[in-house]
Amino acid sequence: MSRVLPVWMIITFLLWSMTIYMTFLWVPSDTRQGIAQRIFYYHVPTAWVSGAGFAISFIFSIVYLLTRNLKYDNLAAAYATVGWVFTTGVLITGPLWAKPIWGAFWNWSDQRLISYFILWMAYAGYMLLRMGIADPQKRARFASILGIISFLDVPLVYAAIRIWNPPSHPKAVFGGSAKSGVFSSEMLITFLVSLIAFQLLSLLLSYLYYRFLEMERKILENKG
Amino acid sequence: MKLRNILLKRSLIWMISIFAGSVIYAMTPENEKSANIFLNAETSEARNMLSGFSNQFIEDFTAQYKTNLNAKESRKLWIMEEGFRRKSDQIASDRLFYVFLAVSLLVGLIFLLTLRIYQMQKKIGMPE
Repeated sequence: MSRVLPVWMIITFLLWSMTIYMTFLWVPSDTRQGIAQRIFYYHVPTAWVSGAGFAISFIFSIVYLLTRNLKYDNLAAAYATVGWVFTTGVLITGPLWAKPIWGAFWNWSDQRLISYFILWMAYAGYMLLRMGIADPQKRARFASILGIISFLDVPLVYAAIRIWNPPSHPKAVFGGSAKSGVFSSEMLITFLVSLIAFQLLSLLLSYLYYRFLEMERKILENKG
Repeated sequence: MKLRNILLKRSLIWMISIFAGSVIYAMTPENEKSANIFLNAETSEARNMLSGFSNQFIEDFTAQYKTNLNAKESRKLWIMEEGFRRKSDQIASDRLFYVFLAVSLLVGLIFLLTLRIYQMQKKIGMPE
């Protein structure tokens, strides 16, 4: 892994540079939203990546409960933590996109927004729980259960715009409608490059955090 | 401000409809067809069509429209164009501010997370 890591970092950096270049200088502006629509290339990949992080965390939480191996709890914690930070990013970029388009930072009648805010709070609770319990096995057990419960909101967030169809929120990027936000091949390419850049960055940070948690656990076990 | 813009837009649409007959004959057949549909559409439908027009279409349409105006009408149009230009500059700069803020805060957040992980690793003496 020590050989792969520098390559991973370089690829992530290059893709991020490409994303910044493409979003600001290459991709055409949206005819309705103008330059404000460019937030889309940061907002949506951040949301996808956070959802993916929570899904991985959900799987490792189940694996921990089945095996009681703390390694899997650390994996679940690392992906959930990085996912939560990216969720915070979504809650920052979303309102800043909404303000120039809707005229308001937030819309409390938008089910997608509400369900996403609940997701952010659920994982904030997950992290607070982890901070509040000292015993590793007890912490892992409770956190895994809460991680599994919290993840149940992810499909709800995904389905919110399909079930309730809030009029203000843009439709899904794939499998949506003409209002999905991707109107040309340049927009699609920029979105995909950004998505890969964000995914690589998220996986990299999760791995680095997991590596730290594992090392910390081993140090504590040796001390004990 | 809003009322003025509405009035300007309405007058432009009204003026376009007055001169439509003389505009259309000079356009390409494709553009002529689109222009006809637009000019005869219901107000809400016509408004929805606006974002679908290509830059080239709008340029051709405006150029043709301008050739049919007398000096007074032309200058009225200049005032409208100046108003729209100022308004669109203002909107673009407002939107740019939000884009800048969103991207900066997101990058800052990710940077803080990276820094935190690095600090924690350093604290327990992990190889970098």
